[in-house]
Amino acid sequence: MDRFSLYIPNFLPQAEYFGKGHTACMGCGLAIGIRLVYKVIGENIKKGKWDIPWKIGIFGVKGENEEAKGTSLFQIDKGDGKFTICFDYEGVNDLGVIKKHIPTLAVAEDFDYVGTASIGYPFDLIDKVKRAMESKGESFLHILCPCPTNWGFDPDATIKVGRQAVESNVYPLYEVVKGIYRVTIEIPKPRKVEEYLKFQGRFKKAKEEEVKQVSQTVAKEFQKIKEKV
Amino acid sequence: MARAKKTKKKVVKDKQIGCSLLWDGRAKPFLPGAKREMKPVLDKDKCVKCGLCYLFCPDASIRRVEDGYFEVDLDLCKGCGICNRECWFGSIRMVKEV
Repeated sequence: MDRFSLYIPNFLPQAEYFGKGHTACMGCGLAIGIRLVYKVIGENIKKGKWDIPWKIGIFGVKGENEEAKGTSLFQIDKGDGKFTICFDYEGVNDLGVIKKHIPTLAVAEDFDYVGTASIGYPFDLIDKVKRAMESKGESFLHILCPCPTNWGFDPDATIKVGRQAVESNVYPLYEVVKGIYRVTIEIPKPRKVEEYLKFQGRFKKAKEEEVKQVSQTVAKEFQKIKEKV
Repeated sequence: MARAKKTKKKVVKDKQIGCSLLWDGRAKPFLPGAKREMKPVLDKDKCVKCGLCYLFCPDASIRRVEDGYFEVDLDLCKGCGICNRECWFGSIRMVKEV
């Protein structure tokens, strides 16, 4: 057994900046996302360079910004621009949630770095945070964080759902550096969208026609990204 | 004559962002894992020391011990069972708390 000493912690920063005594539900995807992001950014907290707020605010409570409904945003001043992180837990339980694409808004506003990440692929997430911090100018990162209580699945399946979303092309992982697209994780044989929808309790009442429509729009959106590469 | 003792200001150590304090400034310690139903138990014969449980734990309750194995801090663990499902070798199992 000693031959297989892989030691994943060796590839990670050791210090913990988030985690002791938070009051999130068990199996919270948001907590995993914040913990991984803080592991990368966290060294600079204690030097006093940046102030990292816990939560700026949940947008769309009064219906001001409908695109960012049900997400929480973090903003960091890194000197030469702002770095915005959007933790998306999809607080609105419609099938329309899947159709919206927040990162495309950031691409339209000429951000220097735009990326999407999921908790199911943690090392991909860590790489993207590093690249966003190094880029000069404004950068944006959109992270999918499954929420067991709201979405309706067992708390131990959080990471499985995060992985399923990528494997079924519902949530493709890509990055845009100065207008150039690149798909970071390519899936040779994508899974069916039905598997992803039926696993969650919030879509149990969805009709078959609606599921078909969603799977068609997912395929369309994925092709749009593939054409831009 | 008895002098009034100088009261020292309590210094809060290990304060983390967005989290409530565990010990300082509380009448009773705050333990997130107090309401847990199931707890993880490690089988050392099957463990390969890969560290996947450490990577995915949302409560940051798993840490590495000197001999390379991983240990659960039961004050912080909420018993979600992510470590049980993500372990490739099935070395962690969930046991009901008495």
